[in-house]
Amino acid sequence: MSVTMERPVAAQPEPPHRVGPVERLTSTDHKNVGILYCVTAFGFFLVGGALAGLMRIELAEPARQVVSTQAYNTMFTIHGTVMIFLFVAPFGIGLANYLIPLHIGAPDMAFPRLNLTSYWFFAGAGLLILLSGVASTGGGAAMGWYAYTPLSEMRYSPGVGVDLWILGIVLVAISNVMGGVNILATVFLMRAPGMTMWRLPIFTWNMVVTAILGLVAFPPAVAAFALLLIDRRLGGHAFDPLGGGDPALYQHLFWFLGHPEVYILILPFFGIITEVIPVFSMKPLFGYLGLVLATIAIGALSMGVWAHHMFTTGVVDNPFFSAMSLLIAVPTGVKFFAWTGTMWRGKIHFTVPMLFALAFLLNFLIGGVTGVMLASAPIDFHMNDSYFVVAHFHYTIMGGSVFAIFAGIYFWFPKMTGAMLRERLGRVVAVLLFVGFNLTFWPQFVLGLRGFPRRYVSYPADIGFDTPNLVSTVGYAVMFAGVVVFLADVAVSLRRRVPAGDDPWGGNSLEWVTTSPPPEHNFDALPQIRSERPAFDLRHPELAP
Amino acid sequence: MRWAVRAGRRAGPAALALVGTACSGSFGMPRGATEQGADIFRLWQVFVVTAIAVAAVVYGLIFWSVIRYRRRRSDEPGALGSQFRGDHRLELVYMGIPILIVIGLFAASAAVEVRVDRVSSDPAVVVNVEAYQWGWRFTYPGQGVTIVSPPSGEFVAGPQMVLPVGQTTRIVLTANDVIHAFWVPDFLYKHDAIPGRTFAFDLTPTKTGTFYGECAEFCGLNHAYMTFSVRVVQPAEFAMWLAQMRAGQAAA
Amino acid sequence: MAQAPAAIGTGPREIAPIRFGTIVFLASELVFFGGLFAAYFTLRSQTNPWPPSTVDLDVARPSVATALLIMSSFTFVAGLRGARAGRLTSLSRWIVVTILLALAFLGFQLLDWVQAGFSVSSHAYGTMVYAMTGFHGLHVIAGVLLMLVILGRMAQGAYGDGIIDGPEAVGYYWHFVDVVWIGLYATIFLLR
Ligand code: HEA
Ligand code: HEA
Ligand code: CUA
Ligand SMILES: [Cu+2]
Repeated sequence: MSVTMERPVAAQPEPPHRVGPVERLTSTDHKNVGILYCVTAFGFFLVGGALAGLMRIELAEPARQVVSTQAYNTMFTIHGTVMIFLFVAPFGIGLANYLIPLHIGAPDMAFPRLNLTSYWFFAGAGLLILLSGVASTGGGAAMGWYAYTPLSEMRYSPGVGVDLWILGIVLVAISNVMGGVNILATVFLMRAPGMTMWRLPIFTWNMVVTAILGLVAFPPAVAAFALLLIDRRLGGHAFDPLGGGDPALYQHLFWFLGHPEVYILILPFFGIITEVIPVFSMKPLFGYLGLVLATIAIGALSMGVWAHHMFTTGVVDNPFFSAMSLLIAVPTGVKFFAWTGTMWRGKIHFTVPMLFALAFLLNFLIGGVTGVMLASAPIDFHMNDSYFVVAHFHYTIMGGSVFAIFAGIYFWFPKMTGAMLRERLGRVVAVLLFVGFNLTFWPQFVLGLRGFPRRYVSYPADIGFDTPNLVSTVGYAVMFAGVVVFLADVAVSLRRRVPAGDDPWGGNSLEWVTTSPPPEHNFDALPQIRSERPAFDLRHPELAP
Repeated sequence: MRWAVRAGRRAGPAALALVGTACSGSFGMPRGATEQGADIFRLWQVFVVTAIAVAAVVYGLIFWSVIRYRRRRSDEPGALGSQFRGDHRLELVYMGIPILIVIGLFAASAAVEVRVDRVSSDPAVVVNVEAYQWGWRFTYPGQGVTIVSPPSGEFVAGPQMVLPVGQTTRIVLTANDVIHAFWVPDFLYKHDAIPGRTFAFDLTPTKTGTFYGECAEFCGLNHAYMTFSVRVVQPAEFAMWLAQMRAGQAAA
Repeated sequence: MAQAPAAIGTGPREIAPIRFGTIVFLASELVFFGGLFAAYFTLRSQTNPWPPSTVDLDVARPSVATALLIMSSFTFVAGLRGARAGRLTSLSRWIVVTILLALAFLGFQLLDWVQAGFSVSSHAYGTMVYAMTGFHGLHVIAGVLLMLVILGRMAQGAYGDGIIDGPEAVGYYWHFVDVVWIGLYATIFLLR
């Protein structure tokens, strides 16, 4: 009996269905919610990036020139919060919303209405957080993205900015919990026949672990923020040393979220890279099982390392947290070697998604090994709260996650819209971002080593801080140009459409066997699923297992 | 855009400086002007050299794969790579080696931490450091000597702590409002000052000179201006300074 | 051979999504209360005496309240048992009883709060006790609302088809609220 599906070729490509604004904002279709998430999140990237620009201009030269000290303090607070909670994490959830049902051969997420609700919680959170920075009497939120007590207590931060900020983060947390429940229910209950857990695309696997991390890590932070709000508005003393409270307790509760959060910020994007590399190497993944186990190991270890953000507080068991943090290098290394192994003996096509994936590898490795340095408590005695840390995490998040996001956009844009992005413009974007990024953040390692603390609006001239800062600002300008070219690329490609066809890349997972964009219920028919790359098996029945 | 013009003028020397720091063996880190700092500096060298070795291997593998196995013009369109799916022995190797490296790094790091955290039972000098929004109060207990920050809000010379070279100084650190952190970059050491808690650690300066210090934990509006300095002098000079200060503050 | 679109993506469902989702959600809720408990015990270990000597805890009334709340778990189960056997009137009757028990519990809580002799702003102990009992109280209120929703949907003729995954999921939630309370009671009133 033949088991091969006829490819559902639409003889006449249907004219793209125009989605009106009302339908856009209210349709519970997972593809719509996914796109809403991604577009909104990318908007927040532009906001956060614009704030970064103001900070870089202020820091280009010693002394203070452009913004007031108070404004600067608000800017890095909002920049950090926006980038982490409103851009990178929701972008991962958005992509998951779009891809997971397609990856597992389901018509939608398990809870479509919950899905749209979680989007609106996220959007509301965004509004509150932006308001917390600007339109708040008594001063915007200016306590840093981790809002350490007692600085964030009423006595030292009387503005309503902090309250709005807290409410915003709590909404983000609720939205994340909803999204996590939805993702787990979808993956565990809605897989098509034949789609076993060991055939799931790695992206979907990584989202499962990400969802679990969110479900475990956000609630204690909500508890912390709730107590902080009680301290601030009802006169409580949970974190107030003058009333018998404990500031270190806040730090523990925060970083118990804060650290897993940084893996929430990377696992989905490891997933993107793992989807992109095999397709353009014309090979199956190297060590599928190892990759899944590595993801699970990273997730598990990440719950036990939070206090590496507190090495200099003198209140934690440094060697324990040091050891746990160092161990995370091992499963991450497994991923690196699996990616390299996948390219090895392949036939590598240098498309734009692949270029971004390669840039990801180069950047993230630097972020990773500098993380290992920070994981040594004595070295962190010097590095903590310096630009070395700032450089470390921009190498992991901007150089890692965000480059992966660009890889993902160039990879799935054709599926989402039915139109290709321009390869040539894409290559320009990749080069500008790569050069600009390294120019911006490499000098920040130097700054940190020389002793430049983070969250400084200005610095004295002639103690070695000026030149690296200047170079860093120039790097920002190059990245800015890259982002502008990218926006132009999107505009041009949507206006003058180059039809993508169902499968422009020769993809592996199920989204490539349906139309671009997929129909409302995703699939007219599914091929038999016999491996982790059903679309490939359909093209190459002679190689299928 | 004044900074853009300056950037052009500085680009050349900046590039040179970057390469220069990387090659001098310190990898951009100050060498540590205390015994404890020198210890941390050596640990840093271990970590950097390991990192460079790891990066060289991984980058090497990536570049080699990418260049050697790029698609060539002579390939048919749609030509596939080899279709193998992994290699268990190789996987064990690339898991095992990092585990060994990580164990080594941990051992080195833990050993240094024990030495850095050690406090002498009999320090030559004790300085009480009190951090507040936005300045510092240094007291030499039993000597009646106190040095306080001038009002801040811009860069002014902060208060100066004076220490004798070659002798162990005990710093007793407190904060009386929010969290601050005491950081002297040249000592490669910082410690948080948390209200409600008292911390003590030892510094043994090995070099004379004046070292820049700053508050490293964000503490509100004028965090950036909460600087100070540490002047390390010969013990005899230190004794003289202390006597002078004592006389001066007693008279005042 | 292509499969019919209707069969696509439904997969084998051993458990209704609403039940699965509720369990996952409750796991997350558990960590939330875990955070509060962790905060309580951290502060407790740092403060002497704990509770502050001015605090005079009445154990009798909370014990009665605890008994009521535990009872309400059983009454809810009784309703579910009826519903599983197709007797929807039994479900609605027992839910009303459960709601009354929950309201009685909340009443006792309110009395406790009013007569406590300390407030959320008295000291760190007060902050923690009010925060923990307060968040639990909010969960009780949410449970009552959920049960009202069930009653409302029954009035519109729901569950007649024997599919009672919604009420079952509310049952999971209600047991959870109950168990958390037992932990709170033991912590605040017995262990202190
Ligand atoms: C995407 C986000 C992301 C990721 C993935 C990481 C990854 C890691 N991070 Fe990072 N980190 C952040 C985001 C991230 N971090 C943020 C946002 C902060 C600061 C928050 C703030 O203060 O504002 C921070 C801060 C931070 C600190 C605190 C510094 C301080 O404030 O003083 C520490 C300390 O241990 C640390 C360690 C690590 C480690 C060990 C890893 C490891 O997971 C890295 C592992 C990867 C590799 C090592 C590379 C690949 C491995 C191999 C090729 C195998 C062989 C390698 C070896 C044997 C070395 N990070
Ligand atoms: C996801 C995480 C993320 C990302 C992507 C970024 C991206 C960037 N960050 Fe971010 N950053 C953080 C997370 C992130 N950051 C966090 C958590 C902190 C700590 C905050 C704290 O201390 O509390 C921080 C702090 C931080 C500092 C330190 C501030 C200080 O301590 O004083 C600096 C300084 O250079 C900086 C710079 C940048 C730059 C130049 C980028 C660039 O990569 C950005 C590139 C983006 C663009 C170039 C977009 C340009 C925009 C447009 C083209 C459109 C403009 C138009 C409209 C808005 C309509 N960041
Ligand atoms: Cu004091 Cu920053
Ligand atoms: Cu961390």
